[in-house]
Amino acid sequence: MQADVVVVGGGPAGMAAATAAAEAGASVIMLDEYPKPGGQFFKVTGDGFSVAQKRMTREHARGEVWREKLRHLNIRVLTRALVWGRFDGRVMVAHEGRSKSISGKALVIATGAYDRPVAFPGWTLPGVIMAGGAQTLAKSQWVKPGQRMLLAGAGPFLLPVAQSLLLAQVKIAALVEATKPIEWLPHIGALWGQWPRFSEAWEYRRNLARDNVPMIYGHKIVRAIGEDHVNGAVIAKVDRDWRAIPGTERTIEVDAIATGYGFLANIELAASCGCELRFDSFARSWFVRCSQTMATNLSGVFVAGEITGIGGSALALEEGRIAGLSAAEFVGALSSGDADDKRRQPIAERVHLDRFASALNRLFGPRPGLWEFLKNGITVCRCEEVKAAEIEACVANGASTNKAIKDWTRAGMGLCEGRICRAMVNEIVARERRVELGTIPFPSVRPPIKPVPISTLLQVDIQTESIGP
Amino acid sequence: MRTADVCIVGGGLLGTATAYYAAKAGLKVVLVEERELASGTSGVAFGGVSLAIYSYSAARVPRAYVDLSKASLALYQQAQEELGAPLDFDAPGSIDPFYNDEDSERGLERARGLQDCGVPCEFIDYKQIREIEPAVSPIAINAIYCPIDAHVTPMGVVWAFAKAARQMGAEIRTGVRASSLISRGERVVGVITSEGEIFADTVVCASGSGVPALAASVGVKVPLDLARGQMFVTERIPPLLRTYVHNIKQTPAGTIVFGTTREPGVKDTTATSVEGTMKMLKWVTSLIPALSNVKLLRSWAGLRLLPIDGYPIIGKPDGIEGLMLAVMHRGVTLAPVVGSILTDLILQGKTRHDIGPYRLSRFSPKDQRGEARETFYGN
Amino acid sequence: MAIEQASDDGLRSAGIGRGTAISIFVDGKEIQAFEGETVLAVLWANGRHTLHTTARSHEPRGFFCGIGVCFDCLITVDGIVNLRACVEPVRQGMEITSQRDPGYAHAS
Repeated sequence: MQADVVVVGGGPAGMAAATAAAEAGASVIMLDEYPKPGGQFFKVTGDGFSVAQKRMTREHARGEVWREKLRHLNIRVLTRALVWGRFDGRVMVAHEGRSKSISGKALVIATGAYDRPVAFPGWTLPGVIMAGGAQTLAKSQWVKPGQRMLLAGAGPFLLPVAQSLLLAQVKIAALVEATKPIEWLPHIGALWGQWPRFSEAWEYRRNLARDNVPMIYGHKIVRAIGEDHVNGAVIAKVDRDWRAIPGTERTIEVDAIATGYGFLANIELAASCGCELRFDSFARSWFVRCSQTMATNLSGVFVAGEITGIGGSALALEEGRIAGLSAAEFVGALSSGDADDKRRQPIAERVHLDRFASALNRLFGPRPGLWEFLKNGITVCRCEEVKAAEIEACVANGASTNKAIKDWTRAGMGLCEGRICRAMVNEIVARERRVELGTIPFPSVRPPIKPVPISTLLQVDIQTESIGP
Repeated sequence: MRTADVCIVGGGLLGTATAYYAAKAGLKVVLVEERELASGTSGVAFGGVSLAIYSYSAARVPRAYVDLSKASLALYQQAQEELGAPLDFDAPGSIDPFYNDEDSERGLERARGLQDCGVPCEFIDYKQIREIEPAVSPIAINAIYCPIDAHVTPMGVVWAFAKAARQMGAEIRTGVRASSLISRGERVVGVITSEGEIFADTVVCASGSGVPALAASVGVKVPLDLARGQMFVTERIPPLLRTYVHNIKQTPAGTIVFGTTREPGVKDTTATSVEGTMKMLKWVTSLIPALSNVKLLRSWAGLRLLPIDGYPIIGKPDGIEGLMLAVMHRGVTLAPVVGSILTDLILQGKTRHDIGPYRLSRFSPKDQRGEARETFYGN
Repeated sequence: MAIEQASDDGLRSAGIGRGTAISIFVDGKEIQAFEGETVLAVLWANGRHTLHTTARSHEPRGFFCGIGVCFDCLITVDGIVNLRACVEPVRQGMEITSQRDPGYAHAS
């Protein structure tokens, strides 16, 4: 299989990139892990469901417009397709039980992000989930994660999650926000002129008010209560660093808790390709470094969306467009002059939106108190059940990297490949060694990017030698 | 300026084992490692502590070699008691399968040689293989079964040795690169590192593929073959393998670990290749068909090395004092015994083990090119 | 063929048309599901919130990320272990086992 441009990821950034490249005349293949393109933002209700218009969010309709564009432009879309590696320019995909190699002259990586996992006592109990998963279950399966839920986190991304839960008839006991409105004031300058995002947030906020959802500011989740399922949440007031203030705890009766303390980018594929990464000290996590034209350090490899920095769907769409145009230019479908002309407007828009995204990152980015529970017997690596104390002991014995912790404690060796524990392991290493988090390198990533059955890997369409160890 | 009795270069199995035995004997030890512990060849080692499985075809089984391996196995048992669980030391036995008559014939010869050296191994047929390991397919027509062979988690061993050495006063410094040796006349007196000079009575070069360059700085030539090896690990699965079958094992955590490819002449030694991956997956699934349904979790690669005649280089090179070498392919099997031998040599100038065959001087001058060469080495 | 389905265990959102009704088997028990649903949706809606127990300490686990990243909604389907309930579609007659995670045979 081959095409001029291969786009990995079918969220807003990927769809915009594929569309822009195809409109410029390039042949495009898009690969997406989920049943339908749309990503987490334009998440779609599963096939077979029929849902009254009034219960759909506007993202549903907007997603349909984009999916229609993909069809109209004859973009080849492989869904339920897991890209498990890239070797010598060939993208390897696990799809329908087979392994396919896809060669493209240009590659756009737009693999998105997932909720940042945050450990607190009780966080491994069934019923404690992350906001994106709560939204997905409600929005695409119309199943309620709980009858009565607590949402805890920081930043405006919890608002659409609450909205989806309300549409699925979940009762929201409280939305617990770590910051206080008064802290937002100093950032008002950066937010000036971002009216569409204000009106969006305002609309969400109004819907929550209509459903009488209590908003509790300056608080965070400190414990989940329950034996084999959540039956309560303890929240507490926090100081400016988000440390819980003793004596301010209160218990709220809920049967599910969803947390949303920001996002981590899915940079594994880009990292395994050799893309240069950058550490963002406000988001306290790693992203792919790129130029204004969304080019990486690798020739012909472009990036877009959340893997370049958390910014939301509007920014992802602009970045996707730029990346698609740059990829089209790279494969010769657009002249450099035309590409420059067409990129001008989205690049300007990106600068504008990026200002907003940066302000949100500074305001809602994780603060040190978020890691205060990473000690003693709390589970940090869920897959291999590794406790914080084991990681601390390993650091005391000289380990300074994620790889060393993994070798020694197995934290990060499980099926999720460290996606859940890595950031927290690194917070422990940084704290114990008193170094900046950004000095701890992102570990090297080797294929497969996610676990793939060996039989699938072996059903491959390329020739390899046989027999012999 | 730092001083020590022993300065060890290399934080892999051989370096940390030597640090452990030297510190235990009361020596003041400084170990320097350029990257992180176990980040070189030890990180791509399979972990077999084996008397029966060889990485090369020896016409005859050398008794001295078997004796060293046996001594090391005993030291692992002792270390397991002293250092505890992280070694993941287990002695379930090994099966080394043969796929055709020619291989089987050589295997039979090797089995006899091993038995002559007192290794309690057996040459068995497929039916017997099946009784021990029902998961093995009939492509294995015969095998050498060695019931006392063991395996460890190499990275766990490195960390356990390092931790114990540190507790006994050894200084273990990672992120410190040793660039060359310091000599006075015919004597090595220290190491120049990225963080200054370290003076020591003895310098131990145990940095794997880095040894030739370091030794060359005092005119000592170490002939090594290098090749890239890829390792693989699956998800945790219910018990499938009891022993280890050639280089396929089930870890105590339940994952299946297998490897390694041998890819000479590659530039990026830590990258994996699709060809190497497919070749290895074809082999493991043809030998153990149940692995087809299992998910591959990760692969990784690194440089593997082999002195050009296949045997270790241990101890002091002729004509130069204050320098010890520890370079070998089977560092997992031999690390504890080599660590204790070097400690004996440092303290007493002699060892009870026969290391005569493993002197550097066995190589003819033409072999001693002083640089690592990258060629294929056979099975 | 959409069927208007009243909520069972109260967790299927009411007033939503779902796909064709099918049967799946969960730990040997027949359970109704609808085409288009994920295994997670069916198990969760049926109050089966402990999807698996962990290998070392045998803790109950449900789902966590819900979008295919965390591998913490593990189930066994037709004898194949460690599949993610959140991305596994339901199929008529599939047999699901809530698994005790394999591994750590030596763990207490």
